[in-house]
Amino acid sequence: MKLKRKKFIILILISAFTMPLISVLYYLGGGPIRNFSGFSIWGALSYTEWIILPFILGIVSTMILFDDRQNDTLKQIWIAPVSKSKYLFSKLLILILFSVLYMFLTAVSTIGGGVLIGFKDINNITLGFLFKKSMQIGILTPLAILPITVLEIASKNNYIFPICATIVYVFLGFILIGFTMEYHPLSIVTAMIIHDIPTVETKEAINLRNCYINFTGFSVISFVLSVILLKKQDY
Amino acid sequence: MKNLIIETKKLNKKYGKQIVVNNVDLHIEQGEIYGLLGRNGAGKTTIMKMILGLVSITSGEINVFGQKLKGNEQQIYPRIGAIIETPGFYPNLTGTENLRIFAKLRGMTRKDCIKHALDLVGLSYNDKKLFLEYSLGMKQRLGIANAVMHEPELLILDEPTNGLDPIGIVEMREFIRDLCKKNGITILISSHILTEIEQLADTIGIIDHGILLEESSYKDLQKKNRKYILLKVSSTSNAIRVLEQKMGIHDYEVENDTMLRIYEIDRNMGEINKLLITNNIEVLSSQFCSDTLEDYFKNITGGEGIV
Repeated sequence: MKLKRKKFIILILISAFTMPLISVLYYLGGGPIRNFSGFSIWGALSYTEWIILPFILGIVSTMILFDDRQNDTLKQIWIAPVSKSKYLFSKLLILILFSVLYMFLTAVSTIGGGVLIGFKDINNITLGFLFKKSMQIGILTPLAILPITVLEIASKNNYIFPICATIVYVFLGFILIGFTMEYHPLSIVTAMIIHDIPTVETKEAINLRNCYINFTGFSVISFVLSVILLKKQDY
Repeated sequence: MKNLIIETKKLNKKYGKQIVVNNVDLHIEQGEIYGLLGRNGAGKTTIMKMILGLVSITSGEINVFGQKLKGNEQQIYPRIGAIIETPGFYPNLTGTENLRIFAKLRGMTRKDCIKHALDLVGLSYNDKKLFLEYSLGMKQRLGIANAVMHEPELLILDEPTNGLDPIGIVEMREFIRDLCKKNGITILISSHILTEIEQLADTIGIIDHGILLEESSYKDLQKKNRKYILLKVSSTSNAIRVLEQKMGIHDYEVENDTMLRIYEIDRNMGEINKLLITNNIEVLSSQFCSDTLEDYFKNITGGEGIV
């Protein structure tokens, strides 16, 4: 409800069609896409998961946290009273819902692109794969963005710093995918997504246990730090 | 024994080396309107924010509804309604939509609570106007509606007449008075406008540079500020005896052995002088005095007046 009439949100959701559209053009331009599974990886996974979605979630989370301060609604929320952890959890939930919706739209437009091209292997298995991976990305990426939330809360009324930090954070995650996938939340998400896709090869074997431990650690520490910061601040 | 709704003990707030609130002891009784009066930056808002947990306390203690605030916030805050500084709402939503969110946050189930609150402040239910299109007065009204929607026992209003036009100020004043008198809500209100506090508050707390200089009932302050005849005589005890017996004057105050205040200002000063002299009481001076609350404020803050 709080995001009602926010045109910016609609524009962001429209951007969910970007990668599937680029993938169609890539295919038409002679790119090495042989089947719908390959097309799905291009359209809904890869750059959507590496760069586009994390960047968008960084902006949306900055926006929703900054707006509450800017409009002075945060004071009213604390007076209501709402606990700091519940508040943060609700913001995370909004981010997850938004992210899932974004990935759903990406998946649907990927199917649209696949149908348009005329892939023969669009069936329950490939569609199941596409939706499963999209939902995984939709749920995990907002959690991977939590370290940015700490910076957003710490920087109070400044939104430029968290957005700059988002850019650095997202690109760092993207760069690290080529080296190690266990130490940056965004590259860990990539590891979790691709570990069971046989067609995708990685430089090193993925240690899924380490990925889960580190990812949980990053998420929990970021969440707790954010709550502590919210509690310590004056309004 | 007085039932204190808010009590602060040696409340302090420091930002670095700057002391914003200095050893403040507030005593707000049940069912009264308590006016916190002070210049801009005197520390009024900070005190309110500390009571509402929006600003951390450097030292001291706050008790609300007879309970320590620290550790009991979740039981205490649902019983409080407040507006601090500007009313904070989502600009992209209508007034009704905004109140719906806060009703949900407070876990309110009564279906007509939003309509009832909007009716109270004279705003339309389900109006399509977005909050960002509201005038300052409408925003303030919506803030009040939100503050009273859950029928709180204590209302904390920080400069509630800010931005209101003269008619709006009168309406707001009457509304606040009604809330206190009809619904028995205890109200803590702050203002830098002396007349506002003067017309509303039962008890006034005068704050300056973070220090609570005075905490008196309005009646006591009125007494201090009443018009009076100030007499300087050779003996106040003899003067009182004569004035009581011969003129029936009973409303007076003895300042010291030689100074006397007579509050019955309709008495003829000439007659008083004559009577005292004929009874061998020397009258060294006699004059009409007329202190206002503003004079009083100036005196105790040691500076310029207040609007």
